[in-house]
Amino acid sequence: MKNLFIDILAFGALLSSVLVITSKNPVIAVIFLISVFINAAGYLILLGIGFIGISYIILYVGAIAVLFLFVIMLLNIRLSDLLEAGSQYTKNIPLAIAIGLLFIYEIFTIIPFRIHDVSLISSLLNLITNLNELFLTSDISTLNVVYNTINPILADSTFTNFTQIQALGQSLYTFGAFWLIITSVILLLAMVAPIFITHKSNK
Amino acid sequence: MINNNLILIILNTLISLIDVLLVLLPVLLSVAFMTIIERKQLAAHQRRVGPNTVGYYGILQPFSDALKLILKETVIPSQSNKILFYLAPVSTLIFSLLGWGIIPFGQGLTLFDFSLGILYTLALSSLGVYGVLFAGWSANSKYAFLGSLRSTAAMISYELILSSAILIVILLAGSFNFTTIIESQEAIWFVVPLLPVFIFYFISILAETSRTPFDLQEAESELVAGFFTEHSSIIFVFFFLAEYSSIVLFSCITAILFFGGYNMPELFVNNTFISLQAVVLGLKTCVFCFMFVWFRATLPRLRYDQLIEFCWLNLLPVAVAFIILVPCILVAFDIAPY
Amino acid sequence: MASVFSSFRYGYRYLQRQAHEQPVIFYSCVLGLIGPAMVMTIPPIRRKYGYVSPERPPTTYPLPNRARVPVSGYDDE
Repeated sequence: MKNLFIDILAFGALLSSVLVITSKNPVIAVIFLISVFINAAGYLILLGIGFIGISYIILYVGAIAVLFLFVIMLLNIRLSDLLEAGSQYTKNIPLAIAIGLLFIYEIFTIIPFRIHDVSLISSLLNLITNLNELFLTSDISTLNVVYNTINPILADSTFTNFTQIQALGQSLYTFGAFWLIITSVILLLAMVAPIFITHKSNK
Repeated sequence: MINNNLILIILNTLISLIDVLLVLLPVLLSVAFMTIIERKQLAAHQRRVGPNTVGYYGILQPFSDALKLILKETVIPSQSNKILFYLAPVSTLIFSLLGWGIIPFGQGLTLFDFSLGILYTLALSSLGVYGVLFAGWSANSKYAFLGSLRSTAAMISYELILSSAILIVILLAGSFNFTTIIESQEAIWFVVPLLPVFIFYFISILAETSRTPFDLQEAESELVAGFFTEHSSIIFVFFFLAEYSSIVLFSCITAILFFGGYNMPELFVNNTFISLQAVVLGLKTCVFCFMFVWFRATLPRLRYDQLIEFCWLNLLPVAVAFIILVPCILVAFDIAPY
Repeated sequence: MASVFSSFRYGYRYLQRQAHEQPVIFYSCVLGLIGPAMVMTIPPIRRKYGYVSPERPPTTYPLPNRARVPVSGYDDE
């Protein structure tokens, strides 16, 4: 079940990203960008790292996409120019197909891909088997398939259970302290620079 | 071929749905009665009576308001983006009501005892900005668009202050979980050590929900009605409900974060007949709803540039100063909570 | 960034002028500078007066305070 949702969210993210590029209206394009972010955040939450997923929503959707929207809504974009430029892209389709095939060939020689691994398609093809399992077995574990690669509960090896934020903070502030300070200096520069550029000192 | 497995799944889903209904129905009723409370209380501040015709003392007024608004004619501008025109108020209402999923009405009595509860609330308030933005843009009218841009800019500015204030409370409590925050206020409510933080938190809540003194966006004399100028009957009901729902939600969150939530000294916990803790939380929420309306009755509104200047030049240095000060106090006196 | 009238750049008069004309920023800076000052001065004073900071709960197995004893008898032959 969880695999199904992960597949749906991944597919939704890819579909939204394609629609970002091909939308005619730029505000609709930003709406699909927000959809990409939300799908990615849902994917991360289902993967188990809820903190990073929710911080995707707070930062990307809550701040960055609002920034994009403000800029696009305040620019004077003429839709007729965009539509006219967009209709001339169809002569590039053979080149696009060639590059796309090259990319797909490269990726699929390195990563082995079987249709059976995509749980959405394989659950549709095995629909009868799955329904049989649902109705005839009395075992609830066939619905939530849990893959335990590392057994997390060995009674004498784990002392404390760090929450995700504690685990992130513990490595970020000790081993990555130097990089954290450099990143914060870069963010400070990024904040000061626009203020300085747009500041009108009225004397 | 019905066996244990299927019955378990169906029962689990039904019980979850009943849980959600148990929280949402009283919330919607409280939102409806909040509107009549506001009108009666404003009237009391202004030495008049308020609505008193419909029920006993005007109690059934919100239902007659809702009926009138439903029966009105829905006017949609012809050049508007119809999908977004409908979706924006719907999404605002959804994100306002989703925030009730993690409020604890007792020890651990929530719909979802989320270990990252505060982040969920912040994410929902970030997402609530979009309803405003798209409602104004999709109406395809300059006044609505201008109102929505102003509202959005004010909301994202004050969200920064809100996040800072909430972060400081989390530093004292030690966890993002709402129940943990309430339990760590057994010793003393957080309003006592963090009174300045409570002050700028309350100011930022007034601005987030666009209430006076920050409601230039909705002032009838300025931009007709701000970003929901073009939305007529049912759609306007959604905006209306979403605004009052976020008022009640933020009052509840204020009571939880700063005033002890369901804690009360010497309160015995007897969950068989009535959960006294939920009653205490409700009473504290009522106090803050009263304060929201009191502020509206008393203060004049700020001009828009004064509003933005107040956030960035006056509140933000204070917020940053407290973000630096509170962890330093916790480290210097070795009282960090873990 | 030159401020508008600064009658004495880093002196006591400058601080007084800022406290009267821009009290928000001045007192925010004061509050913000009290923080690190407290962190640097207060723990030594507390330690001098006999405060021992409590031991943190253990997060891994504590290493015993002796030399390593080589184990035997666990090798496959």
